[in-house]
Amino acid sequence: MPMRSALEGINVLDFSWVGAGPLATKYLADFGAQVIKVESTKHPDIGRLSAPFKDNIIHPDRSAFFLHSNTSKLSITLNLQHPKGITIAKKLVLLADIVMENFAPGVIEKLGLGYTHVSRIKPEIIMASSSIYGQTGPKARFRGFGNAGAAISGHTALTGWPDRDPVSPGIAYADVVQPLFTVIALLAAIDYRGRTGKGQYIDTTQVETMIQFISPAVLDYFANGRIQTRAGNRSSYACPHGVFPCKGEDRWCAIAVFDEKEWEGLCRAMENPEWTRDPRFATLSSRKENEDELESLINPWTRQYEAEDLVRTLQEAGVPSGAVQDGSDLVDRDPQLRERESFVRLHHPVIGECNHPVPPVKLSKSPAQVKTAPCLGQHNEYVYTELLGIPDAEYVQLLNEGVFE
Amino acid sequence: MLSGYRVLDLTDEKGFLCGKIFGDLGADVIKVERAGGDPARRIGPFLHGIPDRGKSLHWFAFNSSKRGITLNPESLQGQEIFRRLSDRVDVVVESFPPGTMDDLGLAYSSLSATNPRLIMVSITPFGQTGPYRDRKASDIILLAMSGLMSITGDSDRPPVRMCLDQSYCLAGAHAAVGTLLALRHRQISGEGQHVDVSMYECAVRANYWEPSRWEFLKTIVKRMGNQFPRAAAKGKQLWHCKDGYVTFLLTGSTSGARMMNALVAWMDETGRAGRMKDIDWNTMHLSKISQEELGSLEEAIGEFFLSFTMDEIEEVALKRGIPVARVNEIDDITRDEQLAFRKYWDPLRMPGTAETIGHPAFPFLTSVGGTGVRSRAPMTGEHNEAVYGKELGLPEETLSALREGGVI
Repeated sequence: MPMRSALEGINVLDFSWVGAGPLATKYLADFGAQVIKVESTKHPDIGRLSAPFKDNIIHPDRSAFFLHSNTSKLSITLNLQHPKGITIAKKLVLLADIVMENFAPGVIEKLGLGYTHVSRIKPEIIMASSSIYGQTGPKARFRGFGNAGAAISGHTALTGWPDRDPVSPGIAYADVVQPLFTVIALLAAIDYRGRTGKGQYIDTTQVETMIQFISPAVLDYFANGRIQTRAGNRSSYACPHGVFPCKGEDRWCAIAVFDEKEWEGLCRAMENPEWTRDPRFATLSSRKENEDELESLINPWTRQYEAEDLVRTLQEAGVPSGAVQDGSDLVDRDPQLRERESFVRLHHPVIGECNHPVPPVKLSKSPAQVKTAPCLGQHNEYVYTELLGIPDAEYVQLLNEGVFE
Repeated sequence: MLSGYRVLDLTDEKGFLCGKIFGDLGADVIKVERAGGDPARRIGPFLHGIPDRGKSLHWFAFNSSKRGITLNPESLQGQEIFRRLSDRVDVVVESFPPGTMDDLGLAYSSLSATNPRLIMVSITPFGQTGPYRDRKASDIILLAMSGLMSITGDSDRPPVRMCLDQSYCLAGAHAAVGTLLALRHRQISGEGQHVDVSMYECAVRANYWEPSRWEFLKTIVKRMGNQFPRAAAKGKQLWHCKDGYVTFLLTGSTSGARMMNALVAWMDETGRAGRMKDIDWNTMHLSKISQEELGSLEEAIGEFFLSFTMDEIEEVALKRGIPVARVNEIDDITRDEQLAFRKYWDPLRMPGTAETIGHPAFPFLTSVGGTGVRSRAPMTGEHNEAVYGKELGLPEETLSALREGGVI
């Protein structure tokens, strides 16, 4: 049987923009759903105006940031401020299985495209709204950016060094976590509809999804009244556990020892120096009690080696280890990513040939089939004249009226 | 939403979240532990703070909504019992080192021979293939290699990882996505398949900006504490206030003008806007401003925030649409009004005790319901009787023998 797409036959009408929304619909598109991204020339997706740009020229079709979040989708431009634009949007709803949006709560309702409206047009529609805090409630109006989700959910307070201010994660982490749950919700909803014929409305938030990833700390508070604090790179169930300096400027190796077998491996790799026989380092709990000193004894050893050489030695000794890498390592050197084809080189009409990120989940019979990201409004004719069947004359008329801006 | 589906969950801490998500969605998830109890039960924190295998809050958090049985798959008997179980389920999810299930005679090819509709989901550090397939790794190793650590932390300190074990959660959630995709494919084709999740690749995907920054600009961003990298000056993200911290990023141009005007108006009410009043934020391009200029603006804002509490700042931010977010500690989030409104805390009774504690509910609301934490995490072997006795129909003598033989 030839490879089929897992989501073949699923149509998504995608009003979402910036980070968390597009990253969700990217999964759907990469696995074969037809995702129609609704954009506008007057208010392009901020993602399209985010660096880096091909040749450093700021242009909506040259953003690599946009490309990385919007592979495999179709793009139309539609003027939602024009009443005929809303009419066309509703026609597109009729073709869709899923409607996705992440406007500020209340906006899509005002446009006449909220769940109450679309479910009247198509009762079995599945609609997902994603926001920072929720569609209703005392803080539904909250406006945030990038790292608001990490801050409000408690992640930021737990990240960094015990003796320093907390640090935000280096990425807008909620933009990574929330889409996963949005996709899970949508796929479950499709399954549910297949069995019951019923559509539904799904409301996901950054804050609630992010808290799922730190739930043990939450239970620690509810059960024990304990407020967990920043731990740097340490772990409660491994020691040593951290990153250790290697030869060269700002080069580090992560090392994590979870049990006595791995500890013996580490000692062997270090050629069993006298200090490792000290009873203070004999067990996990005694090592944790003397962790500062332990780390200060390991540092001079790791400093002698290049990170990759150290990792090879440690792996041979059965010790979990890996080098701290950066973007250049991932793109140019990492042999595992290359073998697994984590980035596929595809041709984009304006940017040219470049890396496209592939979903990190490999399905043996229905793998992802990544296509390039769309230019702004690239699929207007296809969607409006072919999918919707708008006759050419009418299409030109609407175009002149600014309905497709 | 997913009632009717059955999942057999053999994961360790690296993959717990996948089964939990399915359980929360209504599937019947059976967590399989080793006969003596899952080694992952040693992971703290613990109920009452005393290390006890039966009281791991880490285990409780990620294994709620699952039933629990014991099984050691090393013996032939164990393998035979496992097959009887896998023949009756839709999904098997595991996180053994690659090759382990093959060595046990329980590879996907073998299990699917008798259950062609079976979906097997394997969650491993690097995936089932590739030069690093057999490398030993844990969360910090994977986050280090993914590039996420090199962009996190203070510049004068080592790279730092995000809190707890984020790569395990990322992998578990990705595995749930993969499983649902496979279930959809099965609806069309009638066949199951093997889903291969690489925790490393999930972490690399989370590092969504750096690969393209390198490819197109040949720049590497280095960790810079709470500053946000821009074309020219670095912007401050974390601000002290009277009783804690807030996050806020100065943003100009058309996208930021409205909120900057709102902030300046607030500052002006107590005469503290200074020269910020004279700036036309619509034309202020922060990607081109000098570090010195940005610094003086940030100094004024910093002093302003310092005179208010988190609650006070939040109240004004909500009212005036200024995107300032509170940096909540764990206790703050449990008191959050919005989460209470959304009924986000489910009271769950803890295993082996009469205590009820709050537990995060399911992370999305749906108009049809049928989602939510359906039960507390199981005690070791809690459902052996129900699954082996009632569902498989094994008589009590057999179960005793299996227990004695260390199979369950």
